[in-house]
Amino acid sequence: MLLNLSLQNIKERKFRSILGIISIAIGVASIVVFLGLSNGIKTATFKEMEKGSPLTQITVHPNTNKSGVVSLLNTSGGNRLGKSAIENISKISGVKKVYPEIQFNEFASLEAGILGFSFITDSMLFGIPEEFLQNDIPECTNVPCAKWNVNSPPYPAIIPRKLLDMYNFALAIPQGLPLLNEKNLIGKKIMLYPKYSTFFPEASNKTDEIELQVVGFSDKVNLIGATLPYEFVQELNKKYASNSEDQYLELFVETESPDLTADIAKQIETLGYSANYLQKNLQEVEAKFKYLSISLGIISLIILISSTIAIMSTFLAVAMERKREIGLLRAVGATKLHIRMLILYEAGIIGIAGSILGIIIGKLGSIVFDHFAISQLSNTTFNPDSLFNITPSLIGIALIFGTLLSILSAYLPAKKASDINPFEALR
Amino acid sequence: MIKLVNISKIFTSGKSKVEALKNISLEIKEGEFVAIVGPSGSGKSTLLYLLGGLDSPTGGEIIVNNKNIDLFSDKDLSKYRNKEIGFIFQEFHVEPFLSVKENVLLPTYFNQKSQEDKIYAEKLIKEVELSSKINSDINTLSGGQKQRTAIARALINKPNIILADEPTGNLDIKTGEKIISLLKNSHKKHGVTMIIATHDEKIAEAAERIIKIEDGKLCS
Repeated sequence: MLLNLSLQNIKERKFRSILGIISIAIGVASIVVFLGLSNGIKTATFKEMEKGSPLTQITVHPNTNKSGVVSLLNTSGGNRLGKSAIENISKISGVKKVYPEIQFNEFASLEAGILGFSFITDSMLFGIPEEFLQNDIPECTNVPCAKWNVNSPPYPAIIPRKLLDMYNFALAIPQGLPLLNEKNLIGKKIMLYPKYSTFFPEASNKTDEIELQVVGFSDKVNLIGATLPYEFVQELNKKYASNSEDQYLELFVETESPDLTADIAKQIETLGYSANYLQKNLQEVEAKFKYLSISLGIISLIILISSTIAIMSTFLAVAMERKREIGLLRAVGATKLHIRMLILYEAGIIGIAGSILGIIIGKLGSIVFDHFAISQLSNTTFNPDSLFNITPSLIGIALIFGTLLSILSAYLPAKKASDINPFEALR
Repeated sequence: MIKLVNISKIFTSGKSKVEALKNISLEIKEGEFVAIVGPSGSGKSTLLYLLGGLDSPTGGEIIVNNKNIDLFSDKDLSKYRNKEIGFIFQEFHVEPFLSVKENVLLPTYFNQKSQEDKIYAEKLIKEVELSSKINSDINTLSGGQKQRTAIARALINKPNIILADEPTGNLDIKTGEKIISLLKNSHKKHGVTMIIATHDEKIAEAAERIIKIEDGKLCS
């Protein structure tokens, strides 16, 4: 019956109740939007990372204690990757396939004519077995692709997908140039000048040229150059490099199941190699995302606390306004606890209603924001379905948090109301 | 049996003190109809509120059914007000957002509610001649009707004592007479101890015993 009285009070004081509900709704909506955004960006980033390195993939490097470009350029130190490395790693239980990556061991430059301009730049060339990139080459469904031959150019070239973003955002948009996309670049001819550099004077003479053709874009390939099927780079090394010995830059190990990946990576490390895999990277990225989540969480908490202060002052005013009613209830048998509960029930109902409204506003807000943000990202290769990940647990947390804060904010007014002297209230 | 022994009540506001009741001793038998009569500010309402456990005396003891109510905890005192006392106020004090029936049932919200309460509420509403208004918005009722609602509310938990503070103070003479008549009937029918505080000696004549109070002291 106390609940009934609380409901009647809420109905009676509609305007104040609606203001209370709106206050809580604003706070809860900010929690839903900010934490949903943080979750969503994290999920989208993880998905993006998974494109380049699936959960069943381990990337093996020589154990040089260096990473990134430095490790790519330094293949001399540590436990070098050769055929024995492939044999040893292949023997590990749960390993499905090992794909080696080699590089062209000489200077190389690429020249392309795009949008009426001719671009020439130094570039690295990498070689990976076709099978590893099969899904990224639209015109090659069977491996090996019969279409290409090392003796008759053009050689097929796969371009890192992120290069498109770099061009579009770093060059095209600031300079007002047309944007590029995969479709209009597939089939494009590129000229390769082996042993030629635009930077180093000792390699400033073009001695030969080979035609390349763009056949695909991939998230798996090295970002700092073009990738060709393995045997084409092997052929280039034979023809132009002084050291044509097969030394692998890195190995891509495909495991039978994502659950086995961490264990296999450990075993590879015990063989003396450095092993990276998505789950490991995800942990590091997740740790970094915690800062974002905490920052956005603090912002929403500040908004929610402001809302609770507003609710507290509203309830304090209401408690004082209802002195006579409280006096009457005490006169007819309400205990101090009854009075406290009466006000806390009201706060709870306002909290639940405000939280539900806040969740709806947050969800709608995220849809609207998504609509604009996703359309802005449509020209990039980073095109998640949504920037928000509003999970049922986030909705649950927002609902509980909003309701609890509303109840907590009403506690002091409820205590004050229960301490009202009924004699003074009724006289 | 109600027994007041050397009751005093001092109200303090800042540095000033007002002695509302001065060593009042009094006995009221079970089922008695008593009128406490005195001018405004004489302390009659204070005496009534102390009896009802809405405030505690500064000194003395209030014994109701052999129990000193001043020693009750908040919970026990609330239970005492709920079960033993029925209040009727000069300003009616009805809940503006409840219907007539809901107002009458209000004291039952704080005890074990039963289906019988609803039936009894309907009976009491009939008794105070408000059956036609049973589900009406209380705000649409006249002063006399509101006071009749308050009388039914005071009786809902079948209390032993009804405390009425100037029950006709906000009503015209005719309506006031009707309310007094209703209180007399209720006293007879329900066998309750009825204590009315009033400044009107005419109304006090309805009581079996008149206790006069002036300046916080009993006169007779």
